[in-house]
Amino acid sequence: MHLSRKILNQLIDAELSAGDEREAQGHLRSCKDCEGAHQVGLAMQGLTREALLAVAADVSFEKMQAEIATAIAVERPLGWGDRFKVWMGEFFQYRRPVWVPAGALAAVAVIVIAMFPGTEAQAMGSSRVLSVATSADPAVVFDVQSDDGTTSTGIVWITDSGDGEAAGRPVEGEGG
Amino acid sequence: MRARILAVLAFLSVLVPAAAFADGTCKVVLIRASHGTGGIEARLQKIRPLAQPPLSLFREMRLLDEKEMSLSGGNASTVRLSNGWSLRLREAGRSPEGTSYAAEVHRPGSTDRIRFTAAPGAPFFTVIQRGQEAFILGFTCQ
Repeated sequence: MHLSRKILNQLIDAELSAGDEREAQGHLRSCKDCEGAHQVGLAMQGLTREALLAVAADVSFEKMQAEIATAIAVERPLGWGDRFKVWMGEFFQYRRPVWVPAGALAAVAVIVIAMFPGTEAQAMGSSRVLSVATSADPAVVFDVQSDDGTTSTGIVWITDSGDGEAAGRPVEGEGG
Repeated sequence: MRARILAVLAFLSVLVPAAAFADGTCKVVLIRASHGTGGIEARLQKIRPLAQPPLSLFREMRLLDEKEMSLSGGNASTVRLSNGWSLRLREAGRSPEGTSYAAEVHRPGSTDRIRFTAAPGAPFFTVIQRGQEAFILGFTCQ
């Protein structure tokens, strides 16, 4: 019996009551899988916070407010069906505001974050992530836009949880 | 008439694969990144996205390896990287926004499969972070 994703998220976001938190922490001490998932969630939360803080430090707040209207985030769980849909070009049909709660960040396997414009435009066209599949590690997908919004650079950020294939989530084969 | 149609179809069967997969090359760099204080190696400073968020979170970057991979006809090319990982890359198709590629990063205990599309010369990055350190794979394809 493992902690549910909801409980893990609430634990990471410190949203559990004191009693529930004690119970969850007790479970983590005896369940390596849940402890691993908890650590990954904390890492993802920290990574996202660092990234957003770095962006905030580099971009004026007025510019950020202007850009937030067009910034997007896409949540996609990993899995063959979803990857296939992504590959088929439906990846960007489900767009959500970039400022999703930290709990939601931990709840999904792949998140796409549209970063705010960089300091200089890319000289060479765009790149973009179509799909990601990892053995067990969570991945964040960045789409770093150029100043003029005409080009972007795709970045896949995988957090190695150290579990590898031992986590029991082998990568599915590609369909061609 | 039938012979003419067959001739056209035969011609197209030769033409279409050639259009779908053209020969190309991808330059791959392997960078070790950390939150250390050693700064960014001079050769890497000209790679602009490394100095921008989110990659600019790393304060120290060292170029570990640099490979050029030839891709032809949709066939996969594989290289072994200096950190012990292997990278398999193939062209997966073409679209108006560029060429799509399928990359497989084989590292101990894990395989990461990534599909991306890139315009000629446009950089693409994969970061694999463990703790305070990370390996960054940078791709630029022509």
